[in-house]
Amino acid sequence: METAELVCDQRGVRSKGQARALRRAGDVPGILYGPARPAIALKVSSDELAAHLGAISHQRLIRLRSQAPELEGKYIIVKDVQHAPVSGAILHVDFYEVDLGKPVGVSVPLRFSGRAVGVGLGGILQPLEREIKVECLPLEIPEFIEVDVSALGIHDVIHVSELQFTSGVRPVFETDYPVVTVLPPTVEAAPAAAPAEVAAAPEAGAAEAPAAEAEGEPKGKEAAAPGGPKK
Amino acid sequence: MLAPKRVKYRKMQKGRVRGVESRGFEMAFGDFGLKSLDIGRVDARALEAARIALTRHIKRGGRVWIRVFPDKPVTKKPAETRMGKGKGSPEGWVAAVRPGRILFEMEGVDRATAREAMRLAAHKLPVKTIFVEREGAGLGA
Repeated sequence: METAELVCDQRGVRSKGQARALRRAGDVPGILYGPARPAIALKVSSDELAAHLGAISHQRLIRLRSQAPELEGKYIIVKDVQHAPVSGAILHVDFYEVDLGKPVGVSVPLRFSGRAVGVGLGGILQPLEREIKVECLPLEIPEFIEVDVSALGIHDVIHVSELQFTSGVRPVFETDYPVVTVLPPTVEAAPAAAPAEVAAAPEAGAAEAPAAEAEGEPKGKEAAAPGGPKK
Repeated sequence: MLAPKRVKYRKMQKGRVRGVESRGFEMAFGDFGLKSLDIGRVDARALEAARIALTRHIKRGGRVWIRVFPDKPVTKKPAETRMGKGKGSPEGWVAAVRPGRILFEMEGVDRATAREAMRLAAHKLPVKTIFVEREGAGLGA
């Protein structure tokens, strides 16, 4: 797997005001930590970071480039990214320093390939997981795990134990959880209800009654015991 | 329409909706979504109308998730009633929505269909919205 490079710089004061000033200047505040080091506050260019955080390469191995000796040449993976709720801009990033000789646990995205048999019959391919946790050496982190769904019929499921991994990559799981399935086709409710209404009007009225009842349920309960909730 | 099955108190104070969402602003289920850009109250009828617009457009195929639930009761006094004499009677249920909230998610359809379905649904809602999609949506099958 190829290693990307990311230019970063150390930042001094770790205050809210300074973090906001960094964001206004087009940088993203971040932090670097690892199993055998104290945390270091840093900053990276927003544009450069966004380019590295593509859908495929989220937890790839990155080599830091910096003028600060504490950061220069460190191998990291992106541990966490915080986004702004409305704009989606990156607010903060967590880097985790890895030892190239020791296996690490990372989340790797799944890529579904092929057209499922069930989809041809009108079913809906439903990924139950978007990424899975694997353990491997940092230099062997796969870019994605390919899942061939072409044999999946409606209601068929692929479990994590059935996935194919390259040598050196081991999935981490306690229970053999499902990864992807094909749901049966959804049927639009409205056209089915319309003929029934025409054919049997009283029946439609009866069907409406429980819905109205459900909505008015709290009202009825309140009426039965008016003293209680008012207190 | 969406409504709580049972509630402890049938009337609630109005309250104010402020700020932006701190939860429920990331895609959790589907590939495509509709995100609110406004503060507002989305009532159960608007949600139902939007849901119908979504499902009608995608016909069969595709799956829809509603990410908000109208759990706040709103009351209304009858017409031509003098002020006073207590709070009005419950009229419906609303979901308090802040900017950033994902209202609907969708999966199993192509991008163009999802975008058009969300556009139709957005017309039923009282808040300004934006079409959003998951990073890497549409990868693979």
